[in-house]
Amino acid sequence: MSSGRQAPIVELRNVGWWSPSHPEHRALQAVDLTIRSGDRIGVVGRSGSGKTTLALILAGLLEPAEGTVTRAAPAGRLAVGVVFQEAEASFFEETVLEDVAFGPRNLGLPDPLERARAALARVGLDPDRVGGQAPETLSGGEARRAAIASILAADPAFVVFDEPTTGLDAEGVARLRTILAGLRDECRGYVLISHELELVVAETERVVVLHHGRPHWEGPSRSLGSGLPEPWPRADLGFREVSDAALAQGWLDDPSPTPRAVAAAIAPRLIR
Amino acid sequence: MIRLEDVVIEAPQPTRPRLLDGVTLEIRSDEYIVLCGPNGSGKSLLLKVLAGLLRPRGGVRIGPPAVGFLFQNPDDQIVGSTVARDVAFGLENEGVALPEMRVRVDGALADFALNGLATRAPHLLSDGEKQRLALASSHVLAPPLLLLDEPSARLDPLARTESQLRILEARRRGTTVVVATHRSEEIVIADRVIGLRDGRLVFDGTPDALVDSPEADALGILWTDLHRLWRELRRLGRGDPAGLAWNDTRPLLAGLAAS
Repeated sequence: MSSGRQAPIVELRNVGWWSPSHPEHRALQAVDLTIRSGDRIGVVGRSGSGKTTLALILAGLLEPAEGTVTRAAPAGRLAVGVVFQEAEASFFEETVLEDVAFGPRNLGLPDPLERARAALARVGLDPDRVGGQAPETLSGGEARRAAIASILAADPAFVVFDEPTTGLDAEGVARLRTILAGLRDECRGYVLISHELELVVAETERVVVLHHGRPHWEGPSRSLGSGLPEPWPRADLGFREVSDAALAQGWLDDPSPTPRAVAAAIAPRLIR
Repeated sequence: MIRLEDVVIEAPQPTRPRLLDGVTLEIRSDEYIVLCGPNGSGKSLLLKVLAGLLRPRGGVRIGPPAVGFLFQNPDDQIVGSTVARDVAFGLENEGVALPEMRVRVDGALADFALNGLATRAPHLLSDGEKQRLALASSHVLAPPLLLLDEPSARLDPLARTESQLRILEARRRGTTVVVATHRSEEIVIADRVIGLRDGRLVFDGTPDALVDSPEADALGILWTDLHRLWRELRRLGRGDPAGLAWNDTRPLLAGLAAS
């Protein structure tokens, strides 16, 4: 799909991948995907549908077994940063601050420690509190935020988030949404791989659904408001039933109302 | 079954706040308990104390030795060279006879939709598949106590529902279950909710009591839209707790149709 804005950062043509030891299991096949600066793309699909394999190929960490990948890295800049599913897997320095500073330092960016402090603050971790801690002493949710900070500090042109909400509490998810909004305002694109449909619909423009390693459906994220194609279950069916009933009665105007709006509309009419 | 008395775990740096701070808690057999609290509030540490994996300061009395434990990261507990061998590992250690082992492994693989992956090497699994494998391996022993650290994280929505069904099945068999989670749909089906903040126990009550508690907003819970609606209705004084059950919109829809 072409947005016509700029030259692609990454372009995949008929890309497939399988493990050399298990060629019978095609983890990914027949993927065509063009990513331009500022694109916000959602990738959804069941576990094992090829989402993470796609992320690794986009990042250049996995060579496709078939097809072509074309990259146009912006000069002097990291093209694609990946926030891995396994937050712990991305740590190797002795302190959290040094770890987050590794990317910018390695890329020769000025003031790596300052960048690291700013990135930690951006994900809601106090650099004075956690900066000196060993990464392995962070809780699961804190480690995930620190992993996001590591990528933001390296200032990539494009970010791939692989299941970034895993282990995050409500505040962490809200903060992630703020981070995504910030990237959007900077016209920095991202691929958001997630099982959280509500998040994907709200924070991306178009969605690729993978099924058994193949693209199964592709289209505007907003059209997923009423649920993904089979076999996906509709999100939070009960809420939709109630809000649809209130819409049908003409008590609501907004076709995707918030719980608060639905409550305000139906509460006066409910029989105690 | 388990009793904790003023349990304390100090931070590695003595100047930092305690990681668990004076937790007193009794877990009776046959309870389904959900543990919630913001990131870093001590949920995983408390689970490890309950499993006997950590020795804190304070009084700890743990009843049954057999515990099924799910770590937050499935890579921390997968040891088999294939999916089926990993599920069989615990049974082998317990000396279960081969014919029975086959039946139980096949059952656990089916329960977690892993039948097609039985001969696959675990490192070739996706993250969600690894999570299902770790769940299968912790359920297959049918331990009297199941301690699950965010079992639904990494699972897709279909697998989440399936995993919840397996937990409810274990519960029907009399298993005591303690689950750490942020998700409201997993909280409302428990018998009891324990809320942690900054290592302290700040809530201990039923899901119904949690919904009306001021603590509910400070526990980092991810409420589904439906549950947010329930909470709003109760706040507006229109929700009748006796007539409105969590996840059941029928009375609400009937009320709307009649109005």
